[in-house]
Parts: sequence; structure tokens; C-alpha cells
Amino acid sequence: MLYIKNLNAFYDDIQALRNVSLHVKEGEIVALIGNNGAGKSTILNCISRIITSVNGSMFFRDQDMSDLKYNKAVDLGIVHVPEGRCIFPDLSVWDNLLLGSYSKREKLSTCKKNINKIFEMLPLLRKKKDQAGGTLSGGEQQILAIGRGLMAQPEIMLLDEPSMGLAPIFINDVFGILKQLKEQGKTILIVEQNAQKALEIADRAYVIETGSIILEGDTDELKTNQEIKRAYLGKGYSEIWD
Amino acid sequence: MFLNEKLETMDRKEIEQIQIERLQATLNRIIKVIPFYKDYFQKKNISTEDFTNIEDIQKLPLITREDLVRHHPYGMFSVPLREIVRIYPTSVPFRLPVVVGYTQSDIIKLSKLTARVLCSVGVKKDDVVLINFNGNIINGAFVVMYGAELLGSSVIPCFDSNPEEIIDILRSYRVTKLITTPFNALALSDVIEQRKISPQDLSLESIIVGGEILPHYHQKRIEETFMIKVSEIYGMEEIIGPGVGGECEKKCGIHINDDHFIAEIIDPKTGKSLLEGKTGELVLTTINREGFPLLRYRTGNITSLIIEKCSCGRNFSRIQKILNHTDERLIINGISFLPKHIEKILSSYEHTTKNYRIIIERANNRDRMEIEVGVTSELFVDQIRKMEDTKLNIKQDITDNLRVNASIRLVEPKTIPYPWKKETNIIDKR
Ligand SMILES: Nc1ncnc2c1ncn2[C@@H]1O[C@H](COP(=O)(O)OP(=O)(O)OP(=O)(O)O)[C@@H](O)[C@H]1O
Ligand SMILES: [Mg+2]
Ligand SMILES: [Zn+2]
Repeated sequence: MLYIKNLNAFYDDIQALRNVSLHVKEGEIVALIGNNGAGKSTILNCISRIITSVNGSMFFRDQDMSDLKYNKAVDLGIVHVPEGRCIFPDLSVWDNLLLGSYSKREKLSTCKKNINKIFEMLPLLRKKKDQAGGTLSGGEQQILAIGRGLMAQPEIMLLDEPSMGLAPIFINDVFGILKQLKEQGKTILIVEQNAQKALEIADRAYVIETGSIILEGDTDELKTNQEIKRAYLGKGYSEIWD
Repeated sequence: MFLNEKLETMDRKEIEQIQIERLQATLNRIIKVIPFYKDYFQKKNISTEDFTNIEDIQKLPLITREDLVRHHPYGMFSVPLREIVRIYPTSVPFRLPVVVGYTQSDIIKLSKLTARVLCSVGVKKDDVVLINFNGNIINGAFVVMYGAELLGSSVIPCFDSNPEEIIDILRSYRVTKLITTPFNALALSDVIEQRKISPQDLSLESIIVGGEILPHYHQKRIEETFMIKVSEIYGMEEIIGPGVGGECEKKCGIHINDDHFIAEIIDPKTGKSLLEGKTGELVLTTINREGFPLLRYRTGNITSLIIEKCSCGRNFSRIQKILNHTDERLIINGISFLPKHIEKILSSYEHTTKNYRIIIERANNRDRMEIEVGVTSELFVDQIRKMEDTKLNIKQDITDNLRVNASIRLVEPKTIPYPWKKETNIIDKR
């Protein structure tokens, strides 16, 4: 579905990505894991065309993405749910969702139908539909951000650290919803600090280190990798293995 | 049959994407930790970023077994030893050992891969599988065992049984698939014949062999004795054992698992890459190994590569049946050895010259080897007794060191052409 080869991205003189090649197949959940500053968000920003000054080849469903204008990947069905939720705090849950399909310029009646579908999937949002986004808890805001992404009926969702800043109980809620999306056959590329959680739901994962991919594999294989355990799965492991 | 049909039938575009991804990731990993590659990249003034497509693999040096010996034991490992869960020294007669290391995830990958290969040669969940390997391919035996167990077959591991015992096990436990070496399969054929066992008394459906070249005449002999088909699986100890590839039910070559290996064919003399379809030496690169990645490893096997869709549905590349090795090894009743090893044995005798000749024939379904040994005239004028002793000792030495039987004939040196050349000094009548 999504094929990326030899992607290089620069911030002024700094090269943030070096020859990154990766792919996501339809119906797959693929995780990108790596330390802070490794380049995970940069990869998502390249795919959604928030960063356009890149070289390398990117194809989505056989379509060359290199001609796409700034932020226009959404036209192909690529929806990016960025880091830090970015919901509108003063607008209601309902309005936040409505804005999610705004970019597609759908008819209001279709939008309503879609919102109802989202409510079925994420019943919590129905309960809070009139509440202002800013008054939701962190986990609820994250679920709203995912719901808003789903409003655009994405072919593929790019999720950047959906668990960031959330208490463990909310993290479970968010991943519960991701699990649901997986069962529905949605295609997702997810960036996570919480590598353990990400490896639990993903089919495959890439490990990125200072702008280069150093490892790729099925998650059941990667889970045993001591290097990953030490580097990305938290401290407990390093005590056992070092 | 497929273990994971989607994966095994992916198209070339997908295969090439995976190959470049995994090649790049492998290089990004090893460049920091293996001094051999660090130095090479520095010397050639190249970086990992110079690898943007599969053909760039030719920028890497070819690796031989001798290179591995030079960095023995741990110089080519790409993770610290504490992450290695299996250390496997491989040794071949007359050759220095090399050692292979596997991480935990390597073991999982190998098992899955071998399960896939076994599936393609027809092993199923409800098979009773006898695995009979011995000697220097014990590690391969473990890998096959893991693979067959992952498939859910009922596995009977027999690592040190003699052919008589194996036949009894085949019978008593209604074994449906036998996985073994060409040598063992030939030895079993002998027992079947000697004990006049009817193949119908066995439940065996097919025999799967790996680990050594299987010439057509040996395959024919096994198939005729057991009245079933023989399939081949392929791999080598330095890589992962028999999970590199296997035949599919169409039997039109051995499919290489392209998502784990990149296969190339080179001219063994010049090291230059050859075009698809040309015959040369197979070179393999592992692109999915953590502990002991091997890049552009010269397998020594002579074959050719076909990259086109197989009627089984796979797009994985195929190699032709392997019938030769760059080291000019000879295979007698399933055992391989090098003529130069015979030479080494002969040279340890007092009256031998450098002239010798090997004559191989097939009679009664067996390979017979005769070695004509040129000896100096002093031995001829000596007593018959001494000549007989020399013959017997040479014969015994060859059996002890190379595990093959030979009859020895002492001749005048001038009757044998010298210098030694394969074309004139090996007369293979098979
Ligand atoms: N706008 C920018 N200008 C300059 N450098 C940037 C910019 N954004 C990111 N970088 C640099 O690019 C590199 C990759 O950053 P990126 O945000 O992609 O990392 P990340 O893997 O998402 O990290 P984190 O886990 O902290 O979110 C870092 O070195 C970062 O400092
Ligand atoms: Mg980030
Ligand atoms: Zn086939």
C-alpha cells in the first residue's frame, strides 16, 4: 500500500532521515520505535507531506507522492493524527469530529452519518458529545483525536505517540481502541515511545536510530531482541541483561 | 503448500522492497560493530548511504569460508555474546572451524523459515516425521526439528541411529516423511534391498534430503528402492542450515526465501556478477539475521538463478538443482570429499609419487572407487608383502579419514598423466 525507499529529510543543514525505506501493507499495523529525536515524527511528517523538501521515493497505492502539495496527502486517504492531540479545546466533541471531515468537503448529512459510525465505535464520545474538548481527560482527548482522524475515512492512519502523557489506565483505553481498529482491518502506522504496548498490537515494527532504520521484523521476533528490550522497553530489562 | 500464502506469493516489487529495507537495516547495524566492515567502508570510502538499491550489494566484498576462519571465533558476530543463545562451531574434515551464533529472535526466525521450507516440500501437520541427521550437520537437524514442530508434525529425532534401526522406526511408528542426508538415504536403500523389505510395508510418502549434493543417479536409486519421490531442501551450516530454500510441488528448482536472503550468481574465477540464467557460483546474503549476518557469502555451489513466477504461485527466485561445487568435490555413495585430501593421505607414504588417478563406476547400484597410485620402482622390487601392506594401509587411511571405501592399485607412475588435472585424473563412468 505505502512504499517508501531511500527517504532523506533535512532541517536546514541537519539531516534527520538517512535512506529510510519502509512499507505498510493493507490491513497491517506497523510500529515505528526509537529513542527521542530518532526521526519518527519526521517520517510521519514526510508521509503526510507536512515536510515536502525530501528526496527518495514514496508511493501510495502506485501513486507517486512526490508531486503532492503541502499537507495534501489527506486527498489520497492518508490521515495524520499528530503528537500532542491537537484538538480544539473550546469546541464541543461533536464539532471537533465535524472538523475532521471538513477537509473532505462532505455534505453535512454524510458527516452526521459518519459521526454516528464513530460513536458506535467509540461510545465514550457519544456520552460526551456536547462537552468542550478542553474539558476531556488526556485519554479522552486522545480518543477524540483518533475519532477525528477516522472522520476523514482514512485508507491509512498515521498515529504519533497516542499514549504520550497519559496515565497507564488511559493508555490501556487508547490501545483498546487501536485493537478494535485492527480487528476492523484498518491500516495504521504508529509511532510510540511505549514500545512494549506498540509491539503488542502491531504486526511488524521498524526500529529507527538517529535517522536510520536498524531493524525490521515481525513483532513476535522483535520482542525477544535484547537490544530493543534494553533500549526501548524500559529500565527493568537493562538490569537483567547488563 | 504454503505456511503463509500471502507472504510466500508476494510479487517481485514487494520482494525487492523488503530486500532493500533489510539490506539497509543490516548494514546500518553491522557498520558500527563489525571491525571488518568498518575498515572496509573506510578503505573504500563508502558509507551505508551508498546502498540505495539491490545492485549496490556488489559494492560489498565477497566473503569466503577462509575469511570466516580468519575472524574466528567471534570477529564477525554483530551482537555482544550475552545476546547469543546458541553457539555452533561447524567443522569439516581437513578444514579449520568457523563458528555461527544465533540470537533468540534468530532462532524464532529460523524455525519459521524452516517450517515454511518443509511446508513447501509437502510436510504437513498430521505427518509423522523422522529426522535423521548426524555428523557435522547436527545443527541443521535441530533447525529442521524446530521447523517441523512449529508445523505441528509429530517429530521423531534420530541423530545417531544406524540404518537398520531407522528402518525399524520407519516401520513401527508409521513414519510418513523422512528427512535425512543423501548418504543416509542411500544407506537405507541398501538395507531395504538386503533385508528384502517391500516399500509397501512402510507408510512413507516422501523422502526429503539436504546437506549435500544429490546427483541424479543417487536420487534415482533412492526413488526406485522406496518407490516414492525425493525432494530437496537447501542450506548450509554457515548460514542457517536447511531453511535457505526448498523445492515446491512443481519440482522445477529450489525456491530461495528471498525475503531472508539475496541470491547472486558470480563467475567463480573472476568474482564478477553473472546475468540471470547463467551458470556460476551461488553467493548468498542474509538480510534478516542478528547474531551472525553473512554478506555475499560464497557458497561454492554451482548453479543458475531463475527469477520468474513459478506455476506454484511463488515469485521467489529459484536455483537449479546443484550438481557441482567449486572445490571439485567427489561424491561416492553420498559422501563427499576432495581429491586433494586423497593426495594428502598418499603423500604420507614412503614410496608413493604425485601421480594418481581415481576411477569411479557404478555397479549393483553402488559407487565403486578405485585409486591407481603411482609408486617408485623400489617398492616393486621389494617383497610382495610390503606392497600388500602399503595397499591395505592406504585403504584404511582413506576409510578412516574420508569415510569412503576405495580399492587401491599400485602402478608404475609413468602410466598416469601428471600434473594432476580433474579431466584426465578422474575417470567418472557414472
Ligand atoms: N523543525 C525542526 N527544525 C530542526 N530540527 C528538527 C525539527 N524537527 C525535528 N528536528 C530534529 O530532527 C531529528 C528528528 O526529530 P523527530 O521529531 O522526527 O524525532 P522523534 O523520533 O519523533 O523524537 P520524539 O520521540 O522526541 O518525538 C531530531 O534531531 C530533531 O531535533
Ligand atoms: Mg516525535
Ligand atoms: Zn514453485
